[in-house]
Amino acid sequence: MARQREPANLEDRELVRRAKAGDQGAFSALVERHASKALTLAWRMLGSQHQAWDAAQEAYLSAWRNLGQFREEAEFYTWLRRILVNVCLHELRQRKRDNLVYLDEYQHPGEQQKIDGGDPGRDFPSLAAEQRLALKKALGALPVEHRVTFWLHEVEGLNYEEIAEVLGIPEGTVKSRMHTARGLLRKALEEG
Amino acid sequence: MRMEHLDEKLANAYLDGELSGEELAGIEEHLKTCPVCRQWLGIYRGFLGSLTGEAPQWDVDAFTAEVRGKLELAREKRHGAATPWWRGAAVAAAVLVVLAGGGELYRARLAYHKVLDREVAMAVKEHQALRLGELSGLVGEVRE
Repeated sequence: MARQREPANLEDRELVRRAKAGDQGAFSALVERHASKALTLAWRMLGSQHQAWDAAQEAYLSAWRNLGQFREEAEFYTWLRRILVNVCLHELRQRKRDNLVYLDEYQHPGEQQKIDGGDPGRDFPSLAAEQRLALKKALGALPVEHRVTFWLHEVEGLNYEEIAEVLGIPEGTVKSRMHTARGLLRKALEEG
Repeated sequence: MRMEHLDEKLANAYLDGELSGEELAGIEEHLKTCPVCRQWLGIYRGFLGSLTGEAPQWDVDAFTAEVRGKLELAREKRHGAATPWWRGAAVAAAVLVVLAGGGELYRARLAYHKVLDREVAMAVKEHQALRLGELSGLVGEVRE
């Protein structure tokens, strides 16, 4: 008798197929598999672990409710990320304190140490704690849309086309936001 | 390519990996000789590296369990969360017990107050008798 495979051992596509048929266990396996990435993305966007937790949960619940609309042309996580980014954007806009960044939560134990710059800055002054702080402050002061674009491109590694799709805006706008963000960060560093 | 510093457009194109051939070679040549541009790119990339590396440790099991719990709740809600007959009966029985217990309590309290009233009344009488005795003693003393 063929044994049914455990959900944890199944591919995303199979889990999605089962979840669409009402299998909550399969959906839970999807939640568990992508939770860490989703939570970290939300944390980067919102700057708070507590809010990231809530936002990621909301995104998963929304994904479950709308699973029937998922056409599986993209990967499950790509689809989930789109929902999550919009949940976070909604949260950020609702806060009405867009310039606030949770520096205390972003701060990590190793952060006071100097961080090596990548190539070609490898043989040049490394990133000092003050520079990092100045850049973080400047990042936190960016308008929400620019900040989110920055995170998605520079940290999450999405290209402009993908960001345009996630945010539902033209690619040119994404590029323009990204350039503005970099310009403002550079200016902040020069002035700081 | 001779240039003062990388302008924003070129720097962005370089960072986005959009350059190739002569343009790319020109920028790399410039970076070798321009500490200002090189420093900015180094700091910027260092900053990105530091952001990419930082992330909290998440309790994925707890997170998954919470999502699962919320899905269960949502499903119960959607299906009307049909209340079993025995749950209603159990609630009714509990109410009766509380009411009966309440009645008992009320009766006990009443009895207690009766005893208390009686005791108070006796104490008052005793006190009055004492006071009368004292007074009559005093009157006797005065007369004498």
